[in-house]
Amino acid sequence: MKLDREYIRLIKNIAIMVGIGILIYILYDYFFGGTENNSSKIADTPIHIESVKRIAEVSAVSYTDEIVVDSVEYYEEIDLSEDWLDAIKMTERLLYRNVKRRLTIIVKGEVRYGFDLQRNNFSVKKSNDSLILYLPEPEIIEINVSPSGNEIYQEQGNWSDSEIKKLENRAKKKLVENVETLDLNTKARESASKLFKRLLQHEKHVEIKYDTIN
Amino acid sequence: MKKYLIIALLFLAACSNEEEAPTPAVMEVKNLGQLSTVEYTIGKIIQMDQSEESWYKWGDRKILIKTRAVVKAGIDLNKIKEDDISIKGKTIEITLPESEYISFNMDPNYTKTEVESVSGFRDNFTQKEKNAILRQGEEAIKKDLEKTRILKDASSNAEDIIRDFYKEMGFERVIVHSAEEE
Repeated sequence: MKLDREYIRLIKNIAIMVGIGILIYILYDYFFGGTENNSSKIADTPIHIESVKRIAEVSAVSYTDEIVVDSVEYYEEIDLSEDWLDAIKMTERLLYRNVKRRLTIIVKGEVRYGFDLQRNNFSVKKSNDSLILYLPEPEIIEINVSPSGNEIYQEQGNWSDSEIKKLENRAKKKLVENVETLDLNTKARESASKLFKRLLQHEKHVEIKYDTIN
Repeated sequence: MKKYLIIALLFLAACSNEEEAPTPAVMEVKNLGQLSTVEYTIGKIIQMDQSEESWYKWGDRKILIKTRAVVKAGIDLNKIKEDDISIKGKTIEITLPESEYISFNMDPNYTKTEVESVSGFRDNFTQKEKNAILRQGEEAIKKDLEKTRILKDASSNAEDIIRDFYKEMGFERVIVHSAEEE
């Protein structure tokens, strides 16, 4: 009889200890949970110059845009026989309308279109009263995206770096697709024409032709 | 009475918690005339340690990201004015504008989280936080660029390229000045 009472007392004490532990955790999580300091500064580390390259690229036009890329993952079909016991899962499903993970990024990118003259792919034909400059076809010189141009609009669930890269690459692909619809080729030719004519202002007649030497 | 009703309605509308959808800026197509003459590839290890920041946070929270930026510099050919070019027979004299940064690219494909150490009651790093850390890294690289020779290299390469260009055009003597030396 006395032993039974001791057992009950022990169980009660354990239950109280567990209860206090849970309460402390809840209070800690309520006051300090999710309050990671976002204003921390990075350590002062040096930069390393990995390579220096001489180039000769003429940027004739640039196209800047913001692309929204989104990835959503839903829960699989609800299985009441198993899932009803998982309270966290069920609450998440209700709160997020069956969305398991979601990530939306706004990527600001710049596409530069022009001529890479590094390959010595231009030539000149000169006569007494005119000059013909042969240039290669304008092309995409570079696509620039940087963290300062990216905004994580919404993030639900855990996302790996590779998944982020995939989304950002999707945005870059979209930028390139847009370039084709914007007819930057014509704009780059017009811009280059003005530019080279200014550099060759002393010539009476300057004509620019494209890609005929290759 | 009507006035109070309108104010009350406006107040209620202002209390709406609806999140606005992102509205991307209108795309822009710009005419340029920039000549990039040098490309620097710069690496940086970005470190952040939040382990000791909060006494009430139990556990470590550290991150180490390796990143790389490609920076191009050169001159803006649109800044060359008519007065900057003078020709006397087969001799041309040209003054080039000051060199400047043309582009900065910190491509996500060049970025890799090398170490991410989170323990105890600390939260994992979210992608939003990682992007904020990378932004700081980007700023630090841009600041440190001033210590490199990139603009000097850009200027000297531009002089060579312009000299070759005019020689190709048939000039026997090409005198190139840069705005920096004046």
